[in-house]
Amino acid sequence: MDKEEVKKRIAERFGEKVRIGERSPERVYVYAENEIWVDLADFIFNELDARFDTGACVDDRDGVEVMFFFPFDKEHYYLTIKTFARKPNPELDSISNVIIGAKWIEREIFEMYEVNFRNHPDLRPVLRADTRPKDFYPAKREVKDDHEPPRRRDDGEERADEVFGKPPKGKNP
Amino acid sequence: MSITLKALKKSPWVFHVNTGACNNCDIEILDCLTPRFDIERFGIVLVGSIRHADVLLISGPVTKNTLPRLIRLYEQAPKPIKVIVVGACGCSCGIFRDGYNIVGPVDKYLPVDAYVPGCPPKPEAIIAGVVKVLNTLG
Amino acid sequence: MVKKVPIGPYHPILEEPEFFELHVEGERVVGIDITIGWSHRGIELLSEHKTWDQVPFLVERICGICSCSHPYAYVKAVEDLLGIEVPLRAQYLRAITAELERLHSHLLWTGLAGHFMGYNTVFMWTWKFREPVLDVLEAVTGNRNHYAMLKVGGVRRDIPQEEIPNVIKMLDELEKNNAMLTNAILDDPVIHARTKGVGVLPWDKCREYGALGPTARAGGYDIDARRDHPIDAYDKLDFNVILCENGDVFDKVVVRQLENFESIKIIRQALKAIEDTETGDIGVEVKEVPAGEGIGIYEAPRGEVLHYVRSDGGNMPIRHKVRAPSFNNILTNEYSVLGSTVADAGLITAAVDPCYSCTERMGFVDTRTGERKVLTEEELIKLSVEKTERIRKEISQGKRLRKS
Repeated sequence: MDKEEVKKRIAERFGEKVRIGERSPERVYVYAENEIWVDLADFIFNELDARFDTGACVDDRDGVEVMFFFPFDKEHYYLTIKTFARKPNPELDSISNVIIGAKWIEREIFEMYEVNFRNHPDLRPVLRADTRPKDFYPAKREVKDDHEPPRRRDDGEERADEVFGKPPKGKNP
Repeated sequence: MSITLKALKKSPWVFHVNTGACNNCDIEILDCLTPRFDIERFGIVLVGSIRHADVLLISGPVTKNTLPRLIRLYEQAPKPIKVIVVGACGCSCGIFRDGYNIVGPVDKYLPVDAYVPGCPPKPEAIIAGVVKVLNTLG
Repeated sequence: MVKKVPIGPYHPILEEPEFFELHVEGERVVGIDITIGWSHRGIELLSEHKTWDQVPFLVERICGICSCSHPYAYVKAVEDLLGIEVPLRAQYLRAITAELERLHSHLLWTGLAGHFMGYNTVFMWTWKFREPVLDVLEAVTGNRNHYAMLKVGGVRRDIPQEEIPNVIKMLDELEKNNAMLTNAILDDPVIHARTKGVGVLPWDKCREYGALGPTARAGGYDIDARRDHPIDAYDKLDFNVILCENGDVFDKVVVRQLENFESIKIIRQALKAIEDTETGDIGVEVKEVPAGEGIGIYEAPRGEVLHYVRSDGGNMPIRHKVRAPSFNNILTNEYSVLGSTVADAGLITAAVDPCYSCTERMGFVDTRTGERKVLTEEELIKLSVEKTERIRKEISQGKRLRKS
């Protein structure tokens, strides 16, 4: 669907709740309020006939900026919808009941950034289902600072000593 | 030399395990089996179960998810087993060494007999690594 | 009575660990639970600690097979942020590397599909034909895999003029071999019987699940990022987008085989273009990256790769999101594997060309008694091979109609 028409229809439908911007001819952005999030995704996917691509998020001091990408393939541009889930306890409605393909990406965002998606059919961590410590969200801004620091420079030497200096741990006949 | 080792040297059976590598080492290992390199003519066979294996080829840095499986595989292996690490990641974690989900190179957990560095090592290098290990058997 | 059949996470012949749990009723699959993340290395987080120039080396190690597609999408994302255009010669060089990679990836997968079906001849042939592609990649970029060819603003190496005839010679031979292979696959009644109507994924499901690449195109979903969101030289190159209609495993093989011809066509055009210009700039210098965000898209062999970068004006990205095509494609197994038999399940899960096609260890768990029977991957392939043999015998006895 034509870009100007898409912008017009989104503006008509959601009015004050959205802000539409454009960075370049191929990149269109729609900033939305939290409450219309699912309706917006539904509208773009089902009525405007966009393809669903994926989601991403950026962690900020005040909240998590969640975005989903909807390419319009025939007209060669990308529509990005964005919203802001406020901290503490960022929460958002899940769009995976509308778009099945969003299931895993929402699980990943939950695992990495602790964004709780309400009404998600199966909100488990997707990447590290069994070994993940409880309440560990590796990509969160607050957690990142407490990461294990990068290993020391001389770490390799120590390891070499371990291998060559001392007998190896297992035993081969 | 014991009879098992002598038999092992004639036709080592290899089991290959990926502990979180990027596939390239795995493809190069598989490449050794295909017509250009064709290591099966030397009796080296890739087997489907660790219980049949004489050599354990490991590629990739060890991630937290795969570590318990790696240890279990090693425990299930019939001894003596020779462990060969293929690729820079398995030798030293390579570019991923600071990753939060990486627990360390393979030699932190298992005794390693040979390292084949490279990202990825060429099939020739992998074959050379296996041959060198076999030569150490005397 | 529903039984659960775990597949994975280790699989001896290839690639990354992966875990599927099939829910079966007798031979029929009625459900699937997929666990991923065995080789989760936290690359997105690592990338936030690398400078803009270092990231291409990291992202090409996301997947060894797509080691040009990921850097391509990344550099396009940064160039989208910067709003720069790379020199023409660099654009063609990028296209050549990326298409050579597509050739070797598609051949690799066709071989593996043959292996899963019990056709080791196909496996050996395709991998033999794939070797010259790797040789050319080595001559052009310096390494068989992990090419380190792309950088922000251009490419790192030029193709020497005297190398071009060798590449063209390789392409001629590959075209012949690929044609022979394609005909062999299209003619074989056993492959027809084994793959037609298996693992069907129609286009509306492709759209819902967000399937990409050959997986979607086999179902008739007309998407190709090279044509839809043309980057660099791709709008100057002439190629077709291959579409099939049924979305079964057979169509997925056909799409990939026919795409090889298109890739050869693209490389020929690009080589001609750089041969005619002889010399030229192969990169622009990028001094600093301003604050902002960029999206980069490229059609990898498995589907569309998307990279999203966010900059705060510093020398490292503050956020780097990678979406690999397999992430969406593996999810489609939830639909396509339903109703198939256990012998076909390995083939179907492999048919999306996941960066892992895991069939190492299967165990049958009786949910009522907890009795467990463990199958090794060899036995799983044996199941598959037995089915192929059975079909072959039936065809030779005239029980099945031969499809011309």
